[in-house]
Amino acid sequence: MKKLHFIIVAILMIATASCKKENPQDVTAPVTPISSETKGVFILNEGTFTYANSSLSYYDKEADTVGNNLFFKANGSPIGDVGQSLALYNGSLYIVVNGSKYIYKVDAETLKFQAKLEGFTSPRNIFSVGDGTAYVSDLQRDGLWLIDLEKMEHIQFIETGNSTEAMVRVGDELFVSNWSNYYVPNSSNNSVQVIDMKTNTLVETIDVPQEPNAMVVDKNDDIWVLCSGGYNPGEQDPALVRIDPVTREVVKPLYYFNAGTDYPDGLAIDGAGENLYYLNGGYNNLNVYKMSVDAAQTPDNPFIAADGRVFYNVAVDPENGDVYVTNAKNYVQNGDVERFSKDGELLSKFTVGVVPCYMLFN
Amino acid sequence: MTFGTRVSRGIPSMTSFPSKLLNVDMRKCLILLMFFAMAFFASAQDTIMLQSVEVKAVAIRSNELETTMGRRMDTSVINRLSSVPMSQLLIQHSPVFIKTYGPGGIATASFRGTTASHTLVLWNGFQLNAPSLGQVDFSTIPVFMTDQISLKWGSGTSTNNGGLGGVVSISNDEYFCKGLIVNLKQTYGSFNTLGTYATLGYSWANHLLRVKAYRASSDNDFTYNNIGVIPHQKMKQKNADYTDYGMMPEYQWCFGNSLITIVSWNQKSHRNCPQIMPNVGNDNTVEYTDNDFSRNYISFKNYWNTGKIEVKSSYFFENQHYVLNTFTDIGTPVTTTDSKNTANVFHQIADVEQNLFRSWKINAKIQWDHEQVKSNDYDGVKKRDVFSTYAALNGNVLRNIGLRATLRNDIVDGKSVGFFPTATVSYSFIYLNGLKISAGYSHNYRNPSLNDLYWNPGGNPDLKPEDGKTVDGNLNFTRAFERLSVESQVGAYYSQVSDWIQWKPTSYRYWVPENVSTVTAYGAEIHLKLNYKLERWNFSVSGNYVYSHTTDENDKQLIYIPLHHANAFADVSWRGWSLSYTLEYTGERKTSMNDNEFYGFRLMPYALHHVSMGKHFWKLDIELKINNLTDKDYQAILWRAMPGRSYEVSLNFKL
Repeated sequence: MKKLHFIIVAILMIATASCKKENPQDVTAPVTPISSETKGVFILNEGTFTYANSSLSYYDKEADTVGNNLFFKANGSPIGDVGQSLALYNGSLYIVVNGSKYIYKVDAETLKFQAKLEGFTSPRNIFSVGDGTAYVSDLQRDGLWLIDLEKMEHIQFIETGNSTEAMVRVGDELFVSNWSNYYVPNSSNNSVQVIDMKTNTLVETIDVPQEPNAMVVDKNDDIWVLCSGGYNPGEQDPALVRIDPVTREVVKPLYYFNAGTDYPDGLAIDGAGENLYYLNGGYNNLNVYKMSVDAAQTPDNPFIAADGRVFYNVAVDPENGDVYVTNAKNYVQNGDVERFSKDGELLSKFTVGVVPCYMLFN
Repeated sequence: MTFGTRVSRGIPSMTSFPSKLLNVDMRKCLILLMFFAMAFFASAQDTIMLQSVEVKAVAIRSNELETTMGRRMDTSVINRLSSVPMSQLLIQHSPVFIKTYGPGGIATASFRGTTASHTLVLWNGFQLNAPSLGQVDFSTIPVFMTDQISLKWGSGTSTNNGGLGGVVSISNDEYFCKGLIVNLKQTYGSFNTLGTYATLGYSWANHLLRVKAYRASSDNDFTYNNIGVIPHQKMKQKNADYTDYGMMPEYQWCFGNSLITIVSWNQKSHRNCPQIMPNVGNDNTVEYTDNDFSRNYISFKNYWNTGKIEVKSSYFFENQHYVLNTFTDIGTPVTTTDSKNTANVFHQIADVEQNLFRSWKINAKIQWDHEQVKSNDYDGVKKRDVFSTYAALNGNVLRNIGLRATLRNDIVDGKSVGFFPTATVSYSFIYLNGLKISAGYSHNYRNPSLNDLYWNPGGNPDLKPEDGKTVDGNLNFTRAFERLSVESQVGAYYSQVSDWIQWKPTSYRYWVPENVSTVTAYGAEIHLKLNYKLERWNFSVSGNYVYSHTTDENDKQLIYIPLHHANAFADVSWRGWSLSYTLEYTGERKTSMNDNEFYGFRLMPYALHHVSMGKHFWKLDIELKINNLTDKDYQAILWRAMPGRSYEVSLNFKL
């Protein structure tokens, strides 16, 4: 019987010992100080679909330090399922969470929760107009949203007939790429839709090659559109396209890539609007290319070769032209961000969260 | 292990007995043993029969070499947990780790730090692993539908491919001369959880006719603390209800030295799939699974003095239907994922056992499996044929040194995968009765699942099979004293799986499976069971502790595999009253392959405590169960809600 007692006591000890640990969700930690003084970049890590392991990092470019999992540390809860994009407005940071279908508004310094806006179908990108409103594109709706950033309310839904993805502004017009036709019935996947921002109506649709996934505006106010060529590799030639926003026509020359071997994704431009950076290459092997907006053809040699890295997105510091490239590695472990000078010299490299996908400079 | 009731005109199930008992003289001993066992059984019945069954089982099986490569679950545990899914029984009473999405959700099993795909499930010798996914959802196997559950590992998995981690083997009993069989059980618990389980049958002279039927359902709308939303708040789980039902008619006919068995296992289920915690606001999503299957087999066995032959044939039909419909904020349909998958599987097995000289025994098996899956996620119907030849030699080199060697060759779609050997040596200590030490080596492989090969998009037809090698050692001590019986097992293993298949996201927006790495798993298991009788009191304590270290080439622990997990069970009974306590402990787990997993994405260790109280009188058993007694808030899978404290009453009538 003594033996039995001993065993029971031992079991109870194991059992109670395990109960004492603190639940991490009950502990919030101060985040790396971010203030209006600090200069750096917010990095949103999308995580794995249905894992809700999306996270937020901040890289202080002057101190060369990074803080990870800042949202969780500030709020004791995850961002949600697949964080997609970011915007800053009036001291608040807006986080679009695609899988969870909401937008979080947090204090841009403390990252403490302020508000949440639900009611989207598949929110993707957010474009802050600067007057307290923002446009939010939606992959699974036939149009885009206009929201109030202060009150965190929907203002209206602007119907365009097609899904919406990347957004850029020229003058009083918002150019919205129509990337996918997968979810919206009887829709296209090969256009740029022009929205009049005064009336919030669709005024024109410009045809481009299939699946325009990213857009930037250059020094001449021309719009550059990167098109992957289709959902399945080899569907159509991928292309880099230039649109004149005044004539609303695709300007020759078009820069074509090879269907089947090339899969361009991720497009950025420097602060001066002179150099484009994009990712292109094959299966899990995207290189970074740099191209002048005045160049006659796309470059043959990469600006930064993948060399085994799985580049996922590229962004350029608007102040000094430094190029930030995210490396998603195997997509299930924490990725890296590599910071290069505009000449391609590696300046810094740091680890962030799972699948770093979006970068926003403050 | 109700040997006493399984005597059928001297035709025992030979696989259950030590080979050396199988000559004519020893048969008598065997029958004597059985009488002894029956006496035990009979005398125990008016108090509490279950524990006495365990003791007997131990006494008979202690000499078998097989005991070192596996373990049979106690009948008492199987009976007590007849109204729960097998996943719950395994996590509470075995070294197998279960990864579960909660009640009514998928529950998969992993052995020795491997994954669900490496756990082979055999039902009367036929693989249950779905050819499409390669796994078994243990939440769809009600303990009620089985009579015997055993676990095998290391060289014990040699008979089939696939069980690189281990094998869970479930089977139906053979028994005769029992007359009318009536066993009715009704349960009712929190969240409107209902279960009705009925076994009706009649066994006379040479025949057994038995039907098992059940229905289990739950609203499953438990309240939990949602820490995935800001601010954290108590919420009711939505969209997690389920209904399962099933029926298993069975017929057995014994004539001369032969036995014919026909069994048909049929089940149907409808299960809703709840959202992860942060997504609870996504009301415009409908997600559920509708699954049904019919598993049928016929077997013919013939026994002679020195051996037996079994020829069996099965036909399984399985239908899996997964629906995910999403709607826009204004209610128009967006995505309609309607994944249908129909599998037709045929197995043909011929298995011969023959005693040679002295203790030596040979076992040979040929098996042909034909799998055929039609899925709207594949391009057409996909098939696979596996032809397998297997031989095992088993005996004592010296009086106390046992040896077992096996060799299998598999031909998959006309191409040989190779030869897979295993070897086990055991030594029984002469001066310390009941102590045995053994060591084994095994080499096995696992075919990629048909989803791995043919899923559209992403399926990779160039995948190689996974190749696993294991060495393990076991120390067993089994002894029954006057009042105390002890069963203990300490095991250690080291295995390597190369060409490990993993689905990886790609820049093409879909995932692709690849033979990515070599995974090394090592660890240890400790099992202990004590039973102590004192007049009308009966005390029993049992437990398992498992240490499993499983890493990829970069020396990172694989996700969702705890380094430590354990369970313990204590039961005391007195004059038909019984009180039991179950502990389930799961150590910390990682949910990603990061070096330093952030605490928010780490799953904290948790211990669950369950208690139950029962009373046996006349032909009735009444039981009250409290699950998760401490109302522990925990996650078994990241951001999946789990129920807190819940109650259940059950009433069981057994003729």
